[in-house]
Amino acid sequence: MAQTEQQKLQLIQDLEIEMMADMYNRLTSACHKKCIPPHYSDAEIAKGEAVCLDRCVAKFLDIHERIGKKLGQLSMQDEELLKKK
Amino acid sequence: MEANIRTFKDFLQMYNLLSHTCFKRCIDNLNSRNLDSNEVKCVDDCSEKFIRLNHRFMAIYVEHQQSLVNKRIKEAEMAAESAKVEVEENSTNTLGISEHKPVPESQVPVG
Repeated sequence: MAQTEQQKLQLIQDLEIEMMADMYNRLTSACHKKCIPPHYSDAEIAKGEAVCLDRCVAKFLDIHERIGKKLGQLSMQDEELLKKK
Repeated sequence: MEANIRTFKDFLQMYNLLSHTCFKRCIDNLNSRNLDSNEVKCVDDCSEKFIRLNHRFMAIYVEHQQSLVNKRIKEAEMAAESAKVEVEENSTNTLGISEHKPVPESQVPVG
């Protein structure tokens, strides 16, 4: 019994890591698209691009956290509604 | 238990997609590091709308799915019916052939 509980925990942890990787991939692709114009005269990351990437990642993570809080609130509301019924 | 984990996974996937979508739609400049009030409002509206949209899609999908399933069942019934008829026809045919066959055979030795 204890082992299945542990397996469950492991499964959830794996899932969270997988989803974090998915989020990271989305973040990199979105910020790549927004900050790196598709003409390549220089392989170095330009100063402006670096600043853009920095802000982009900060904003993406900000939004992710904001939406996470919102979803948390909504699911709490849903649970309370379910309890009342 | 399996279903719970599945739901959790779907939820996390939806969460990532939601963040990604609203980021793409609401952030059009990166002049500052912090979200300004317009962006905050946009993200709030975007995420709420996304959730409402999800609910609505589900309702519409269920509705259409039901009629689709009904249609498929009807089609399957029709197909089964026609197959049955065909089988019956075939069995009467083979009977007919076996009755007819002895005639030419009996004719051969005579000729």
